Amino acid sequence: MNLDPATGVPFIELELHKDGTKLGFSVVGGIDQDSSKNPFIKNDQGIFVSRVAAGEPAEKAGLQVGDKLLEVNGYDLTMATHRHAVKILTKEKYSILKMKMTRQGLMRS
Amino acid sequence: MEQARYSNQQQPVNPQQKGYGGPGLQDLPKQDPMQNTMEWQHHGYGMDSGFQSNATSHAPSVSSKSRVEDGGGGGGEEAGAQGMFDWDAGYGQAYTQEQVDEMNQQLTQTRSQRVRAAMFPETLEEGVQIPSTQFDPAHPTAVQRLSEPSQMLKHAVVNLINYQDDADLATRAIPELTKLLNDDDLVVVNQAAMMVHQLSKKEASRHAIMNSPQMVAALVRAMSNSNDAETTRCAAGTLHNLSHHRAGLLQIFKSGGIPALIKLLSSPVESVLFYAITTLHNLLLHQEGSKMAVRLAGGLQKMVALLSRNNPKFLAITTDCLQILAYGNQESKLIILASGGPAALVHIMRTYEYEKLLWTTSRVLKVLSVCHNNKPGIVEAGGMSALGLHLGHQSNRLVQNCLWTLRNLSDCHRGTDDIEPLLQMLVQLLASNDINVVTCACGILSNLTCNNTRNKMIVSQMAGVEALVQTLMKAGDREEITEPAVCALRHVTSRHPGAEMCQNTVRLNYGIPVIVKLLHPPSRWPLIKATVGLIRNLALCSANHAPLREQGALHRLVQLLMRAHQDTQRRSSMGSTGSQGGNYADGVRMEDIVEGTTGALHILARDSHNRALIQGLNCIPLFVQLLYSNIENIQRVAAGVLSELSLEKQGAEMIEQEGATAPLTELLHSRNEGVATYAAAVLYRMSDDKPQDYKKRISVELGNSLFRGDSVPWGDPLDMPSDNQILPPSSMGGHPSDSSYPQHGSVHSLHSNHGEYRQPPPTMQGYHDGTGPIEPMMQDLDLGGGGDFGMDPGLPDMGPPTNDLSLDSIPPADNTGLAFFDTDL
Repeated sequence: MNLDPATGVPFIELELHKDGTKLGFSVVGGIDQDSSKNPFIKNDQGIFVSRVAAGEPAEKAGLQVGDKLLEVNGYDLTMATHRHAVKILTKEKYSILKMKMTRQGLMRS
Repeated sequence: MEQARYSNQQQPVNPQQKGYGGPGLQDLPKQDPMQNTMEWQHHGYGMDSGFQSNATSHAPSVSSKSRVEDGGGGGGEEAGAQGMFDWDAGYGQAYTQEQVDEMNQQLTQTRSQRVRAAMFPETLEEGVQIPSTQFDPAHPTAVQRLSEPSQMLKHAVVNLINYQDDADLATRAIPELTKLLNDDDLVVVNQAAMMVHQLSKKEASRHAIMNSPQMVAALVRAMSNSNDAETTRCAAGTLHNLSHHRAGLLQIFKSGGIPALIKLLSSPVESVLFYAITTLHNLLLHQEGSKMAVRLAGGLQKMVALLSRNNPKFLAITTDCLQILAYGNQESKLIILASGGPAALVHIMRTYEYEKLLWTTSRVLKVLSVCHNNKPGIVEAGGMSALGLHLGHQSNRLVQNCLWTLRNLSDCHRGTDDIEPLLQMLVQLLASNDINVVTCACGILSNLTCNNTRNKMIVSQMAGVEALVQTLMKAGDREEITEPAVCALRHVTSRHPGAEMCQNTVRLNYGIPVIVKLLHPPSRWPLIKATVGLIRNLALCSANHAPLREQGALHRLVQLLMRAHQDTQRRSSMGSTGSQGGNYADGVRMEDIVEGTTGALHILARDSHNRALIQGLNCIPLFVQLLYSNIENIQRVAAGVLSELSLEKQGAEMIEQEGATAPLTELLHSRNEGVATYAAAVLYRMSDDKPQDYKKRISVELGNSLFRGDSVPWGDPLDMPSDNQILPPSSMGGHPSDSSYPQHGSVHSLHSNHGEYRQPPPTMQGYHDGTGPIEPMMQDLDLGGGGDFGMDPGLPDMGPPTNDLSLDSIPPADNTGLAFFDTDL
């Protein structure tokens, strides 16, 4: 487990190997969404994993529902619009997504 | 020979005789370091000219020399030469012919030195005394006057030679340097970066650098990969130098320089930061595609973070970058907001005095102020009072931008920060001669006094009513001023403790004739609608009844009512989509005019003379017909005016003859208390001469309908609706465009009235002074729902299409303006 140098938030790094264009998860949130409805961390404007499909690349990579994406392939997602995040995640030129993320309880584990 | 040289050396000064320059220069002594290059430079020109050949060994004398020097220089030496003759003549006896010859000899011998001193001072040995031929200190000799231009020429030639050298050198060196920049050894990279930086300072080599894509790419790589501050600084400095040229910008852009530069925005080294931001600024200004690249690389977040620095010039560039990025781009605005931009920008407005910085910052705020999400952020950060600080600034562009921004924000003010000084300043600005300033000041005052008791009181205490009336008089037909001014007056003449005083003040300042005149052409519907509302408020003060009548206000109101009513009838009979949309003219719903004029007549009818006049205008049948309207507000004002008219026996009879009893009885059961109350009042008064049992039945009905709630005091029907202000959701309305300022043209469909007079028109309340729910379509206008005219909780929500989030994939927003949803990947 690492600590983010800027924020001190503990994070983990994952690599997601795309299966074609398929990722097998859903994201929710962003600075342009109503963060008061965020079910994971209320009023957090970050991008969160809201669904992980069984057997798909995301699950294989170890993603879990509720994970907050901090960075993908060097792009910061802590202060991004929803659309921007989707754009980064679905860029065709990436066959591998290097993701930096945090999840609740990470500190304890 | 010397004479010839003299003549020739002059030549370079005169561009027309350029051809002669070569030979002359060849005569220079060999120790001149420039000589070789000069020869090279001029190789191929005529080596000898007739001029030179001819001018040979003319026997020199004082007089001939003077003439020669004159010939080159013109007037200057003439006086000297003349003086010499005089001197010669006057004191001639003191010198023997021999002495004179010797002096001539001496001057002749030093002539070349004088010339050389003027043109090539660096070739003279130090400490040599050269006799001057200057006699009059006020007039330099021709040779002396040659000095400056010949030095300039020499520099030009030297520069030209160096330029060529630089270009050659750079072209040869670049492949080598590019290789070194890519070296693994950091020291090598550092040295190479330093050299490239030096080269980039000279124009010729700069062009060579920017013409080499490999070189620029290597620079970008060295800049972003190096951990050595000096390497980064040199590389950034080089890119900065390249960014002054279009070709350089294009090359930086193509080489992926933007993400690298944005990375540098986190640098702790001041100079690196400067190079990075200025280079990015140049890119944003002149290189297509840069904006998107900066956004994608997360530049906005970094730039907002830099706003906490304290160098005003640096901040000015940073804010200008933000402005360029945010202009017309909703996503950028949201990122700025999320990064804490509004507070940082407001802080700058409060802290600094550098005009350029204030101006660029006000421009960012202006762009943000048309974004619904940013608006509350700016206001909460105290943006309004901060912008108000600069309204007295001598910089016109700053004042204008502050005003535009304030106008955009002014419908969002919730009274969290102290804006009393701002209000005072705005009232003062009404006297300005600048139309734009007055227009904005009126618009802001109108918005700030809307539904805000405290602001209404402040404005009226600061003689705002007087100033607004003056403004109306001065404005003539300029609706961009009269409309907001009338709205502001409408706001301050109702629903605050000083309202009655304001109603009187308008009259005492001769405002009534001007205001009534606005009911007539060339006024358009939006202005008419506002004016009707103001007249209604003025009529609340009984002292205004007679002046309004004398100005013909009642006739005109009835005319407008008839016309608007006919319009609604005609359109609905044509089967337009009617019930929902209503009929619009210039963005004004004709139903609103019907309601407004009837409401004004209702208040005016409190005066018995006015009642007689209204009866005489034969509009009772129309009022009765309006009772059948499916718009509750219209029912209410119609019942209201009838209740006043029924106070006269004759009036009551006319109402009954028009068959009002049936609809009125129906309205007794209206769920709108106002409607029921007025209907009851009319029925009660109509029953005056009816049999007792009928009256009794009416009383019971009235009792039932009137006292079911908290009861409305008899005879004081709903003029002053409670002040429970319900603000429409912030997602409504909306000004999609940032071009903020004169948005006059940007009429978008139903909002045309917004566009017309008010710049980014207040999204929610506008000039609306209404309380209660604001009628959706006409949020900013008073006559619509609620407002001074009543409450209308029943209207369906038919908010205008929102256009605020240009995010195509986003589902309909909820009432926070923001949604929360997933995207499957």
